[in-house]
Amino acid sequence: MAKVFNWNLGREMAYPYEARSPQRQFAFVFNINRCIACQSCTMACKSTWTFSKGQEHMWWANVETKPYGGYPKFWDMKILELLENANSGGQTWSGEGKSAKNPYGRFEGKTIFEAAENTLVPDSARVLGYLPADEEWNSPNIYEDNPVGDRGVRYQLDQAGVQLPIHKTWFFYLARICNHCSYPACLAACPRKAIYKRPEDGIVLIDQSECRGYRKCVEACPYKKSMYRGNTRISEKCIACYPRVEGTDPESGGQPMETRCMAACIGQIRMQGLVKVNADGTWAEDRAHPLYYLVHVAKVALPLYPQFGTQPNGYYIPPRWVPRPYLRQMFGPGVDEAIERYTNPDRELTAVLQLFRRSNLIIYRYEIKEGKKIYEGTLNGKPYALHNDTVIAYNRDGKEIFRTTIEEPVHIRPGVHANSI
Amino acid sequence: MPYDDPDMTDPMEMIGVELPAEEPAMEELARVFAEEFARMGFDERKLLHLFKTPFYAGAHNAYLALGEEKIQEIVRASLEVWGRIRFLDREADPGSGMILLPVLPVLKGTDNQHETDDMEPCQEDQ
Repeated sequence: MAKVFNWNLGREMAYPYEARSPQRQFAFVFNINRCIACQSCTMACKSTWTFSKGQEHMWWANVETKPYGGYPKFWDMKILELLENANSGGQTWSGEGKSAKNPYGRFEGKTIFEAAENTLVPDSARVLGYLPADEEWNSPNIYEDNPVGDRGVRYQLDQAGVQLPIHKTWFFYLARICNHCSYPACLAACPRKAIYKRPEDGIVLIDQSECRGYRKCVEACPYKKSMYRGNTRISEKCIACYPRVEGTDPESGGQPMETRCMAACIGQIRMQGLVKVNADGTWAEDRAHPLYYLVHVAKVALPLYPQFGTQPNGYYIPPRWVPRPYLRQMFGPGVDEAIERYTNPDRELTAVLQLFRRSNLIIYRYEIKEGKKIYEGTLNGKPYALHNDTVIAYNRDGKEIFRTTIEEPVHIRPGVHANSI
Repeated sequence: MPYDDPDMTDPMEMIGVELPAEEPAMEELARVFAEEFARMGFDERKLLHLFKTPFYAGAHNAYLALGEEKIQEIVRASLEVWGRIRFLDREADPGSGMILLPVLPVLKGTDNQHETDDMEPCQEDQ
């Protein structure tokens, strides 16, 4: 296998193909602290792309309850277990994050590509993975938040159940789409080379005319976001709403626009963009880009299961209340720093967080106009100040899209009560 | 989640996950809900309603576990910071590339007799 640089892991790793970076990379940040699992994103995607016969089980965008749920069932636990079995006790991180090339330290374990080299037969097998059974795809979200039925009774809720159960412990909602990975496992595994990564925006697509439905991509994708369609006998996956991202969708007016799942998010947890990438796959410095700021400067957004080794381009602001060992397994060693900064956001982070979902256009640059201090006190036990700042978002052409100001409201007493004191 | 009892002969079947549920996690959950919704403009009445309503499973669970007094304390602490401000959005003019989405047209013959040609841009956050 070739050697490629994976900045999520802080080191080179084995990959079946040479690295070839796109001009820009499709990427997104989801703020889990805000997700209420309303499933607006899920249904926006479903009603746009996967409403046809044969696509009934397909949810390119989904929201699952963690740690109880998963679509397909137990997808992450299963791949983590395969990796643990392949490299027992060795899936560890070392060192401290230093630069954009190793912000989370160095991963000393094995990725799904490296674990495949000495655990899989035949030699043509390139990626450690598994093929979910039909049953694992057929019930997304069922029983994650609902009462289960009587034991042994299939397809029926408990007849006497009149109350939703309450989780007796912590939980959170994990929204997921294809991560359009920099080193896609689906692409690596395809024997027909039917999967490709677009050079202009890094979106990973399956060529529907080349695919023969071998399902190697379904087996290889650790996030299980490649799905097989039985009636056409070929595989399909999230296409990142590429007409919108290109600005060729009639609604976009020629400007790059965020995907349907992003635009539909009523919880304002999502921001999507196109980031500049260096030849070695690292993000090029772009200080005024909101995603670059969240991932590389504030470091509040972290990759989902970076240890898989695909260098996913979906980043998550981890939930503050969840026990750290679970989060470190899911988002890597950057969790503690990310939560610390998100809990007590500085002036710039407070402003950048206001960029989420104020517009459907992709933001390429932001600027902050500083105002006077309007509050000084404490937040979560630490000194905190708020300022009358304005954050301004710009589109691809450098034109302003919108501006948001933090204001101290002025309450004017109604005339009839003006002298009531 | 599974319909049937776990199949213990299946080597890939999950049979147990440890879920520590210490009080600090629950308190932090309550703080996050209070802060996030306070930032969205919720006042004390709305925030308390959020915690008291069983449909918001996470917030309500915290309410049951921590009690009303503690939840009120958390809500007031959040509003002490985030209740003082509001976020004012201003869209740039249409010439900047901002897209004003059309209002859905009302069909002819309904009580509201607007023609489909009467579509006007939404006025958001003016």
